[in-house]
Formats: sequence, structure tokens, C-alpha cells
Amino acid sequence: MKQLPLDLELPHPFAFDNFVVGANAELVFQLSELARGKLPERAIYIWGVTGTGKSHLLNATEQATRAGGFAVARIDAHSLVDANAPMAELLVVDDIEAASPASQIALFDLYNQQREAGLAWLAAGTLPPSQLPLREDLRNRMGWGLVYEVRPANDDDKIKLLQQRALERGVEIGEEVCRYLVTHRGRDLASLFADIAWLDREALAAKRPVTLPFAREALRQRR
Amino acid sequence: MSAVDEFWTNCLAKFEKELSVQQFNTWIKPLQCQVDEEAVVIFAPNHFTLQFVKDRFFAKIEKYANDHFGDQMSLELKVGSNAAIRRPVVEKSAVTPEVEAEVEPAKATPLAAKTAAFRQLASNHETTRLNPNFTFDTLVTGKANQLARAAALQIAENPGHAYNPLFVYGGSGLGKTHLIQAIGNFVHQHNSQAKIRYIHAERYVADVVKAYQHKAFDEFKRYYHSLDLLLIDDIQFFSGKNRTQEEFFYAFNALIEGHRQVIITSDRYPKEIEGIEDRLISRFGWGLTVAIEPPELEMRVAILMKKAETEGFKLDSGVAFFIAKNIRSNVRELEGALKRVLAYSRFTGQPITLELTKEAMKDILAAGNKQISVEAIQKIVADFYKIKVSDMHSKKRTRDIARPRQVAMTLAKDLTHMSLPAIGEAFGGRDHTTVLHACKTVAQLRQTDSNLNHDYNVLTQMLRN
Repeated sequence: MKQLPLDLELPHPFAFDNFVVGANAELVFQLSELARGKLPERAIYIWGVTGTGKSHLLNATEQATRAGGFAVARIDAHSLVDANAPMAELLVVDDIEAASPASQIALFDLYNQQREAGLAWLAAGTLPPSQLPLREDLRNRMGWGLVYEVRPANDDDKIKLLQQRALERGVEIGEEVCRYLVTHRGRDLASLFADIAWLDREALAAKRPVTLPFAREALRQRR
Repeated sequence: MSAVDEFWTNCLAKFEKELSVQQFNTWIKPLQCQVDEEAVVIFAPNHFTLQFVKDRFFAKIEKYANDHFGDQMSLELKVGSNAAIRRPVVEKSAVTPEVEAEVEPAKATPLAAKTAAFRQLASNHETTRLNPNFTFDTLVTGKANQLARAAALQIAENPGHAYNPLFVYGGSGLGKTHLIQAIGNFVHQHNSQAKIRYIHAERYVADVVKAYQHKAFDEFKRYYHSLDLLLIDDIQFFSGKNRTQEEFFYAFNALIEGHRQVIITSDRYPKEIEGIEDRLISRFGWGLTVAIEPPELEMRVAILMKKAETEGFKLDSGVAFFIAKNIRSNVRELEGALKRVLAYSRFTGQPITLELTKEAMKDILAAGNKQISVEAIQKIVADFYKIKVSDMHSKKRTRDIARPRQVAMTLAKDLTHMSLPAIGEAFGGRDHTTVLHACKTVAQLRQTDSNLNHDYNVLTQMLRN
């Protein structure tokens, strides 16, 4: 009889210390300074392809800021942005290029408001400021503060990350299997993490350890 | 030192330690404190600060008060200022009446309610809203803005009598706001009695809406019509806002007739602003219209050196040249690049050398290299429509060549940061009005001709990747 694993997923905590820094050491440093209110520059824009950990960094900054007793407002650029959103020490905007024309006006106002009040702004997108398909006055504001590209983790970093993620789930997945994932599966971390979750559940169901042959077999079914 | 002073000094010292400099200066420093037998009253300069302090710092202040005075004190927050230490108000500003009205709560007569509503509106109107750092001294001058600067200085020296209005236009991030605020600061410096107001057009629109909601138009009018100098930024945002345009029309007329100065900025030439009534557009041209162009290399270098100086360090000219050569688009991104270099220097603990600068700007430069050039646009569009690249520059006006050329011009406007005159130049030395016409034609065709719209989207995609 097949063991049915309970489909319970713990939300993954996003913090600076479980972010694999790789080539992003400076960025992580500046973000943690921003969260502590110690960075002279109050605006940061980060960009990079999907799955490099932008949202992780936004969440980590948000949490670190809250931990310092400061308020954080989170803006969803996919829905209509309200220009009268409550002020906070840190305003976080993810996926800024998704903002509609009306939302861009609101974001423009919010940016100016934060800046005039000496409050912090952190936004993320997939494109560098020079290529953002936004209103020119909002676009060049993204390039006004500190701009960082979130650099993708290299393969060794990814392997380390996958092993760490597996351990957090209470399953041991060897380096060999992780290397296989990195070289044969998706290149972005989000899809690799999904593979780890899949292997964990399959291994639980099959009551078998995650070996390379098992992983190959299990992932074939996932296709 | 009285018990109150002692308490407040301690309180400030604690907050100063806990908060960032910006936060302390923004939220805590402007507060005033007064203590009577049972209550500690904290005065905030406006509703906005009051709300923020209430949400964020109330519990802490309460705790400090209880620690200091024993636990029977209650804490109150009010808008206004401590009557005992209020200085004689020299400056005439919209905030002055608000202070009194809020300390002694307004009676609930309709008029008072209306006044209160407007006062709330006026919490945005405090003082001039000028940034004191934007002066003629801190403004870097070059070919790109020397004419505009000269005109601005004349007006600053003789407001209301030189050119009225002054209309400054130019791309976003080229220093229009700095220039016009320099006029405001100059006038303020020489005549502290002058009623000056800087406002962004977007905020003016919002104020019209608020005045409408609170039925406080009389107060709104009285305020704007009483100014000696009105500086209004980014007027293109009035586009399609009829009520705002009407209000502004009256304000404009009242001010001009009274020989009070009006200064307007826009990202484009008045006649090119769409959705604004003709009577306003024609009035914009009554005085002087001046352009601000993107800064040339020497000016970009000077801007960087000046910026570094205000940040308190000396920038090597080789470093400034390197940054200026690579960031050409506008002043904001130029400043952004300098900040990035500074941040990297702070992070690594190394001095700012050319090597460090190159390292710090690596990803900005890599991203910049992906910038789409007008040559690339011309090539891809020519290939797409199977015409010669040279036709992009030629004088031929047959439909099968003119249409692709118009598409390419429009793409150049949408995908590059080139000015319209620069685009015209790149297409065989055409006038910028030709480019504008092309953009309008293509925009209209995209509405009606789905094939052309499709082509346009495909070309955009091809160029972006």
C-alpha cells in the first residue's frame, strides 16, 4: 500500500541569513543597512531575471525592518495602487513593471512622498532602470537611488542551497542528486525548490531515501 | 532647566539614539512639548506628522513620560505649537491660522467646519514647499541650461515684471525643478514677506479634488490668488483634467493681472501638450518659453563634482569623466551612478579610484550596453519591411517607405531616451515636428489597423530582446 504524505507545506521563512549570498554580498549588506535605517541613501532598486531571489530579499528586508520596530508598507503593483496608501518607514514594491498607467502615477506620488519625508523605498523588477517600460519620470527615479542587479547563484551555490532547503524539510538529499538537479532541471531556484519538494513527498510516499536513481525515476513522473 | 525641558531633552536624546538621522529629523525634531498638572501635550506641526507619531512613537513617549513624572500623567497629541514658546510669526504662510484654530478646537459652525476642511488641505500648503538646497549656487550651468538660467535669474531679481509666465520645458530628470525652485529660494531670501508656493501639478490636481469634496473652493481660490509667486511643476499632468484647468485658468489670470509671477514647467513644448485647453496653452506663451536640454559631457562632469562636494568629499576628475561618459541619459541616473560608487567604496572600505569605480559600475554599464540604439531600430525596421536602411534617411515620401520610417521614428521615441530633435536628426536631419507627426500617425493607425499594430508589437519585441 502506498503511503500518502500529508500535503502540509510550511511557509519558507525569508531572512538574510538563509539567503545564499554568492555574488550579492554588497547588495545584502546595503539592504540590511537600509532595514536598520543606517543607509544614507534611502532608495534601492533591485532587478534580475525570475528566480534569482528578489522576492526573498524584499521579504528579508521587510522582516528586518519590522524587527527594528519600524513600519513597512507593501505595494502590489499588479493591482491598482492607491496614492493615499499609509506612510511607513519602508515602502516595498515588487514587480514594478507590472504597474498600470494609473498605478504608475500613484507610485510616482508615493516615491516623492517617501523621498521628501526621508523614508525608505525598495522596489524590484526584472529589467534594469534603463529598460523599464514605465513613465519616464518614474523610470528615471528608479535609477536615482542605488541600483543592484541580483546576480543568479552559481551552480555550487545552488547545490548548497538545495541541500539546505532539503534539510529544512527534514530530508537528506545528497550533493550528487542536487548536482543532477542543477545540471538537468530548470536553472532558476524557484523551480529547483519545487523539485526538492516533489522529491521529498515522493520519497515519503515510497518510504525510500532520495538516491540518484530514485530521483531520476521520480522526476520522470513529474514531467 | 525646568522639569518639562529636562523631560523633553531626555526624550529627544533617546529618540536620537534609536532612530536614523532622517527619521529623527523628520518626525521627532519638529515636535514641541508642554506639560500641565496632569497631562503631557505633544504638538505636531501638521496632521500628517501627528498621525505618524501617534501610530509609531506614542507608546514610547508615554513610557518616557511615565518614567519621568510618575505614572499618573496622560499623554495627548495635538496639531499646533506650544503657545508658551511660539515665536512671533514673521512669515505669512497658510499654516499660521491653522495653528490657532487647531489648538482651540474649531466651533462646529458650517463656516468653521469648512475652514477646518480647508486647513486640513492646507497642511500640505505649509510654507513654500521649496527645497532649500535648490539654489542658483548649487545649480550647475552649461550649454544645456544657460539660457534658461539667465532668464530665471532675471525673473528672480524682478519677479512679476520681467517675463510672465516663465515656461521651462525639457525631459524628465534634467533639472527643471532645481532651476525653478532656485527662483523661489532667491525671491524668498530677498523678500521673506513674499508669499511663495511650489507645487507639483499632480498635487494641485489632488487639491482641486479635495476642495471640491469639501466645498472649499472659496478658500482654495483665495489661497492661490493671493500668492506672489506660484511655481507649478510638470503641467502636462493637467491633461484631461478639466476642472483643474478651469481653476488654474482663473488663478493664472488673477496672478498675471496682479503682476505676480507664475512659473511653469513641462516635459514638452506648450503646443505639444495634449488634452489642455487652447486658452491655457496660448497663455503659457505670453511670457518667455525656454528649454533645458540634456547636459553635455563637461556639464555632466561638473554635476558629479558638485554633487560629490555637497556629499562632503572630493571626486577625482578622472573618475567623474568615467561616470559622465557612460551615463548620458539624465541627471537623476547620473546621481544614481555616483551613489552606487560611494556605496561600494563604503562597503569595501576602499577609497574611490578609477578601478573601484569601474568595478562598482559593472552592472550599470552591462545594463546600459543593452540599451537600444536608433541604428538598431532603423536596421530592424528596414529588414522587416524589406526596404533599404538608407531609405530611413532619404527624402523619399512614397507610402511604402514613409510608413516604415514613421514606425521606426515612433519606436525610437518609445524605446530610446533620445529627444525628438535628436531622433529627427538621426532620420536624415528631419525636424522634430516631423517626428511628432510620425508618432501621432502611428498611434492613430495602431488603433484602426490591427496589422500595423501587430507589426509594431513584433518589432518592439525584436528590439527588446
